[in-house]
Amino acid sequence: MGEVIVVTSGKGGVGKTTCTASLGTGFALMGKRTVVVDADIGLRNLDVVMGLENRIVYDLVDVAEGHCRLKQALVKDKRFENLYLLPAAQTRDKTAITPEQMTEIAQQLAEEFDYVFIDCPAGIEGGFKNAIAGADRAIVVTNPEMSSVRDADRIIGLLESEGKANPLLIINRLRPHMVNKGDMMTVEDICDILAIKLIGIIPDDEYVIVATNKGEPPVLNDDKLVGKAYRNIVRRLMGEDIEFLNLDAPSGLFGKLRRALGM
Amino acid sequence: MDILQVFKDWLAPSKENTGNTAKNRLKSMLVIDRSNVSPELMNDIKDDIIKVYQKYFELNDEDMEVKFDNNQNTVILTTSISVLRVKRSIDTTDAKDVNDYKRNNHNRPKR
Repeated sequence: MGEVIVVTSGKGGVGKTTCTASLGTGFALMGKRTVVVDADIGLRNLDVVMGLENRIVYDLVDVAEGHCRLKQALVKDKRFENLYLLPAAQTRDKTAITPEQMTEIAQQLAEEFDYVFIDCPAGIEGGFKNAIAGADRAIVVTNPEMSSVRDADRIIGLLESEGKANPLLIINRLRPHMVNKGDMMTVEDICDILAIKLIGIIPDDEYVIVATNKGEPPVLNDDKLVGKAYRNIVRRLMGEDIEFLNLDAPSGLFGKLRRALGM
Repeated sequence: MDILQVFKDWLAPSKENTGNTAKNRLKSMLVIDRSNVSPELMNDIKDDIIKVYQKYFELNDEDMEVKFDNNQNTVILTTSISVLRVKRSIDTTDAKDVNDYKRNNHNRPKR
């Protein structure tokens, strides 16, 4: 049986989908049979971040309603041996599926795959409850700003009340130079507040938009710190003990000059 | 980025540490979030606290604050109320407790 991991955050726009795409692709690169599931029915985007939007035939709701078999709805990522996508329906809404159906689908996928990643919609209503229903583990993504951390705290409480204890934390979009200036909460601050295990810190990088433009999850880029950060998370999730990247911005006059010039 | 601004920041970095402000605001916010105290209950608590103070002081209705704070994992209920003057004689004959006081002061403006 594979492991079902839901990626959630409460607040929208913190990078859940990019995270799901990158972790899924990262596990496939490590030779694990992996499927990424878009549970954001009506607002699907995981297909776009994965660059698979033109290959969708059936979707999650078709599977739930029995219009097709689960295997027919899976889109194979031709670039990688072991990677599949189960897309969400775009023309339906969150009520098109129940937590029981979602649990059933997640279980079937876990029989076929080593890792099942579920991209959870923003919010705490039906869509969230569906997405977490079949999950063994949860990853909470947050940004180092107040509203996002507050929502993450709420989500952690809800996960616990649904029996998904000990979620893991990813801090996304950290800006080291703002932290150094004292204008952004530190990783320690956030960990202190949320009190769950940290599994990754991802620096803020314009490259994420470029990667999405191309339909290539950022984990694929070896040269970028974001790519490295994602690959480290994959390895940590697989049980390896990897140190967190040093994201410190270059300090001093020359560092500041270099940054100002975009070097 | 404006290169002049970079030099300005370098020469005179701003003293305000907004990251810390965010952390402290979040901590006190989450005390209430986690306690599941509804805004209505919070308002009732505030009203009752203010009533007790009003028994002894004349207060500035415009300038009062009752909130939960967090200080190193201890929850602190802070009340900040500006006092206009101390009442000379406290009428205790018909206001023996807060409930009596409530009944006698129903004209007080609601918050």
